Amino acid sequence: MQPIAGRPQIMLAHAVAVLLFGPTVALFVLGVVGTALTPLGIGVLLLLVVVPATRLLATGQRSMAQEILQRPIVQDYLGTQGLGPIARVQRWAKDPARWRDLLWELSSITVGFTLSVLSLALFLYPLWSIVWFGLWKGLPDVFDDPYGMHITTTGQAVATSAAGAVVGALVWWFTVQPIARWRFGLDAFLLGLSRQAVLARRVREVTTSRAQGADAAAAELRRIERDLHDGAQARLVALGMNLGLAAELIEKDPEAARELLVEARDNSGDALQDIRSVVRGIHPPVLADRGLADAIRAVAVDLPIDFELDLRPPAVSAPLESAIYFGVAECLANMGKHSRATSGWVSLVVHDDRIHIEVGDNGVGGADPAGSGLRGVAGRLAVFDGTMDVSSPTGGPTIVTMEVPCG
Amino acid sequence: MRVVIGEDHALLRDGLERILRAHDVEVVATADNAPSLVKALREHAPDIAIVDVRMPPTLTDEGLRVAIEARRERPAFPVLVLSQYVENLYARELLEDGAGGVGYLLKDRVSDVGAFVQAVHQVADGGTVLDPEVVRHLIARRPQGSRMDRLTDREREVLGLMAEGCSNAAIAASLFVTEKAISKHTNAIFSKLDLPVSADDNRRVLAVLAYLND
Repeated sequence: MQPIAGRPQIMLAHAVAVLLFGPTVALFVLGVVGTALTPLGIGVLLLLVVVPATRLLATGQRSMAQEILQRPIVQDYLGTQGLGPIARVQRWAKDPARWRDLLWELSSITVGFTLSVLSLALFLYPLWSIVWFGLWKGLPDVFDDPYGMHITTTGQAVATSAAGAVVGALVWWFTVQPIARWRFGLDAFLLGLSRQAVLARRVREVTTSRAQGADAAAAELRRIERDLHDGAQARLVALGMNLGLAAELIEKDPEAARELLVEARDNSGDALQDIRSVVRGIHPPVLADRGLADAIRAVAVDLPIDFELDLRPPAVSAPLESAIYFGVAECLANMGKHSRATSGWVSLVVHDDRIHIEVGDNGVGGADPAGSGLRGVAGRLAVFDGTMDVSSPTGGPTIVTMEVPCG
Repeated sequence: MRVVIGEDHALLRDGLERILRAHDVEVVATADNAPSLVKALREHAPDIAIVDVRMPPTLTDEGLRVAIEARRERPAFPVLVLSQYVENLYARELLEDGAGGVGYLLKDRVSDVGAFVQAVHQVADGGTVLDPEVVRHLIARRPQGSRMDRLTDREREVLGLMAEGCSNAAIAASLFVTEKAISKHTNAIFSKLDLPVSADDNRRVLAVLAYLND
């Protein structure tokens, strides 16, 4: 048996579906009229309003059906970015998803609506049965003939009312979930992709994320190579030069040799510093020693910002841990560099087998998710089916949310 | 001697300048990126260019390409290439024209100041100085049936030192034999590698090139 939402949720969904009956009829009629009138031009104008509104309605229904049936229902629409009005309508005409939206409207205002109303009626019947008793008490002449019976005594009325309420409640109780399955199953069938299309889409996603991951890893290696080349290696070469020259001068000009040696000592310290920072960039010692929570804490401690930290990381694989760490570290580094924030927060909690991470601050905002750093984070997370979302209006606050399955 | 230095790292540029000045070599210009290096070479027409392989704008092999280009404009223009890594491929590209006046060294070699300054002079005089690292690589991977197989172990050793830019006298000293013996070895090497009879210096370059191309 497929899982299904609880009864209260189902009833709520039916109620919403019934309330949407009017708009759905209107949109369906306007959609059909617009399509018919397209050659006249007026139809195009109509469709430019109706089609997006239809998609909005369908999306709402999709998420409702998703809640009830507890399985993902997704749909791919053809993109229409950058198209003029005529081209846009032509694109819609070619898009099966749009036609299926229209078909769904038809099914929703007929079969779907009927099923929803039936379920709601069954739900209300026991109440009606009790109300009927009150009505019978008040107006026995009018309400004394339910179902062809003739009720004359209070005892009979109580029995009838109770029987109606109990039987009605039982019928509702046992039919509510099957009806919901039919109603929302039909919606899902019309509004969602077929299994095969879902799989194809998943393969596309995986391919993209794999490429992103490979890119991120390659970029990372290039960065490390460059850091070493321009940092520690160059410093060590300079150190050698100084020492070589000092060795030559030690007899002739001991004072100059001494200066060179002091410079060489400073150079060696700097080279070590460079190597340390590269190592930190590869795998931070704190992460290796103490795990994710303390590693994030260690980064936050170094910033002149008051942090509220709620870190409850689960046990995850080392690669995922590292991806999360660098994601958070990148956000915190940006915060330190650009945000001018005085306070910030990091939360990392597990909910429904997914890790939810939020990094925010009260700074000036304007963070660019297309910047190389954040893009790299998104690429790294994508490998683990994770997502990243950046909200950073000018004036702040900046909130970066990351989500990734526990793996 | 007048030198132009192409090196993007300020620390190393200063170090090189300091070393060369201490040895009475005149540094007429320095450049920290490829375009300005090209300009400096045209402007000053130095006796030798000392160039870092990796330079802005692309930070790839910009310096090497400028050096090769400069030798196309001025055949046999002496170039000493310095790098954090040595690649046989790069050594070969530098030597390809067979004109000599080429040096290719790891940057670390500069810390042996005396030897480095000597290498600068040698390259400026049309000699060839390859990093021992390159030479070691070549000795390590010798394909079967190559011309190198005709050489005795001793001759290969001599050729290796030749590639590093040693004179006959220096080779003799490091192998503890007489200079005359080395002369015999070098002649044997030239004939076994089918090198044409020409000025000794040029034959040395060709021998090294044969060695690299193997």
